[in-house]
Amino acid sequence: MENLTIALRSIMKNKNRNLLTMLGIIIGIASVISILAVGDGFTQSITKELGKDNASNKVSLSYVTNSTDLNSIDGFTQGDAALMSDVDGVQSVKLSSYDNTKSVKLSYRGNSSKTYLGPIKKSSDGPKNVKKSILNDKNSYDVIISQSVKKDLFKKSSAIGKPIQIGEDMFIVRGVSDGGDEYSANVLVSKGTYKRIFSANSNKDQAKLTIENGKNKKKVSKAVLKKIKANGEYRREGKYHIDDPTKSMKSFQKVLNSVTYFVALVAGISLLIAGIGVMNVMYITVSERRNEIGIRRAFGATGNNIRNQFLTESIVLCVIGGIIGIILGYLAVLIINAFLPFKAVITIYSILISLLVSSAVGLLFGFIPSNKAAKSSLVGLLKEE
Amino acid sequence: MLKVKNVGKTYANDFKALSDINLEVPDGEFLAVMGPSGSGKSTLINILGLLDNDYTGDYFLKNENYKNKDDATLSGVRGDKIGFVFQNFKLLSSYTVYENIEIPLIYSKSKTITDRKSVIDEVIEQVGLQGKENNLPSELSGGQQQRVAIARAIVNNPNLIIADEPTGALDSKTSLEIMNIFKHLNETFNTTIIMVTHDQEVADFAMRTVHIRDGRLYENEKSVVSD
Ligand SMILES: Nc1ncnc2c1ncn2[C@@H]1O[C@H](COP(=O)(O)OP(=O)(O)OP(=O)(O)O)[C@@H](O)[C@H]1O
Ligand SMILES: [Mg+2]
Repeated sequence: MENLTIALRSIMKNKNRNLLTMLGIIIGIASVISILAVGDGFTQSITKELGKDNASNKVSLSYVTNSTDLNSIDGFTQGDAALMSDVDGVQSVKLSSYDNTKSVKLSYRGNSSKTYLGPIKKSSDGPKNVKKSILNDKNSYDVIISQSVKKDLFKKSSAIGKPIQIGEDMFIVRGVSDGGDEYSANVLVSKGTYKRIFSANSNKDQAKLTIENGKNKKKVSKAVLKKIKANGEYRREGKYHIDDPTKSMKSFQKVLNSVTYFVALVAGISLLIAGIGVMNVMYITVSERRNEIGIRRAFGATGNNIRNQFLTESIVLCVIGGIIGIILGYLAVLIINAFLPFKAVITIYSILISLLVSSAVGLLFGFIPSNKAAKSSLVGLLKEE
Repeated sequence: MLKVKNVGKTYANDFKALSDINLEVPDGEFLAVMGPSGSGKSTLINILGLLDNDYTGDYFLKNENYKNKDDATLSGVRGDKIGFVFQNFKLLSSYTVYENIEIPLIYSKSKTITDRKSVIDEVIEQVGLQGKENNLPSELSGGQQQRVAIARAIVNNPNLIIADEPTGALDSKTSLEIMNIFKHLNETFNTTIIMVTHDQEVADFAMRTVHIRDGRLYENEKSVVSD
C-alpha cells in the first residue's frame, strides 16, 4: 500500500515525462484493441453466417452432375426422396435447388439472348420505380431485366411494357435494373412466378434431411448416402455426397486463422513498440533519478524498496495507460464501425489480453532498470549529481 | 559507542584510500574529521555511516558488528539510527520541504502514518523553517536548504549524525547558524555527531578533532597541515 502511495506520488512529481510514457502505451493498447476488435468482428460475422446452415439435426446431400449441359435434368427425384425418408432415423426430406437460378433463352422480335433467370429476393432488388405488387404477385408475368439483357434484346429503344418470350411463356418487361453480369441472374421474376414456372422443372441437386431426435446424425446420413448411391435414379449421371458444413467451416477457419495471426502480429508489434517505449522511459527515469535513489537508500530504503517503487511506478503507468488505451480503442471501434461492412466487436478477452500485456510489459521493462538501480553502489549513487 | 577496528579501503582501481583506521566515538560526542582534499575523509565517513559496506576490518555499533550484514539490516540502521547531512544538501527538487523531511519516515518501521505530521512539524520548528513546509527547495536559500536537510536527518531521532562538509557550500555567517543547530542537537539530545570539515572555525564547535592524511588517521594532532 505504502508502495503504491510512493509510486503514485512519484508519478505525479514527473507528470510530463510520465504523460509521454503513457501516450506510447495508450496508442499501443488502443491500436491493439481496435485491431483485435476488427479481427474478432470479422470472425464473428463469418461464423454466424456459417452457423445458419449448421443446425444440429439437419444434414444436406448434394448431387453433382457429370453432364456439362446447363439444362440437364438429372438430380434428386421424388422417388429418391421417398427412398431416403425410408431410412431409419430420417424424419423428413426436402428437395431443393442448390443455386436459385435457371438458364433461360429470351427473345424479342428475332433478337434473342441466353442468360440466367432467378426470383426476386428482397423488394430492394431491382429498380425503385417498379410497383411492389409485381414483386409479390405469384401469378404475374412481369419481369425485370438487367441493362445488359435490355441492350441485347432492345438495343437503344425502350423496353418497359414490351412483351418478351422466355421459354414457352410471354412476359412483360416492367423494369430495367443496373449492371448485371454473366453469372448472376439477369432476369428477375417474383418468387411465386419462379416457383410456379421455372423451379418446377429445375433439377433438384440438394436434399435436406431432418434427422429424428436422438439418432446419430453421422450414422443416419451415411446410411442414406449408401442407399441413394445404390438406388438413386440418376446415380449413373452424377455423384452424391454429404455436405459437410464443418468442411466449408474448416476452410474458412483457415482463412480466419491467418487473418487472426496477421492481426496478432500487428497487435504484437504495436505492443512491442509500446513496451520498448516504457523500457526506454524507465531507463531514462532510473538514470535521471539515481541521485533520488541514493537519497532514499541513505535514509532507510532497502534495495527491495527501490525496486518495488520503480516496478510499481511502471506498472501503474502501464495499467492507467492501458485503461485509457482501452477507452480510446473503444471510441476508435465506434468510429471504425461506421465504415465497415461488418461490426467490429471488443471482446472481454481482448480487454483482458491488453490489460495483462500492458501490465506485463510494465513489469518486465520496469524490472530490468529498477533491478539495476537497486543493485547500484550507494556511495556511487550519492556522488552523482 | 561506535568503534572501527583495522579498517582499510581499496577502490576498484587498486587505489588504497584508507589503511589501518582505528577509531572510537563515544555516545554523545561531537567529532570533527579534518584533512587535505583527497586524503580519504569522505571515504571514512561513508563507512562510518554504513553507506559503504565494501571495506576490510570491523565496525561495531553498541557492540554489534555490522561488517557483512545484509542490505535490509544496514538500511534499517541507516533509516532509524543514523541521519545524514551532505555538503550539497541532496534534497529532492520536485518534493516540498515537508515531503523531503518525510522520506526517512516512509521507510521507518517505528512510525505510523498518524504521528508523521506532528513529528515533522516538530523538527521544522527545531530548524526554524515554520511556514516553509510547502515550498520547493529551489525557493529556499542555501542555509534554509541545509536546515531542511538537517530536519530530514533528525526526523527519525537518530543516535548518530554523519555530516560531510555540511557548511562547505555556505557563507561563514550561515555556517555558524548551521553549526549552532548541530551544537544544540548534540547538547540537548546527546546526539553523536561525526562531521567532516575543512574549516577550523567550524571544527571548533566539535569536542574532538581527528586528522586524516593519505588514508591514515591521526588523533589529537595539533600540527596545522595546510589544506
Ligand atoms: N570511486 C572511487 N574510485 C577510485 N578512487 C576513488 C574513488 N572515490 C575516491 N577515490 C580516491 O580516494 C581518495 C580519497 O577520496 P575521498 O573522497 O575520501 O577524499 P576526501 O578526503 O573526501 O576529499 P575532499 O576533501 O576533496 O572531499 C582520493 O584520492 C580519490 O581520488
Ligand atoms: Mg570528501
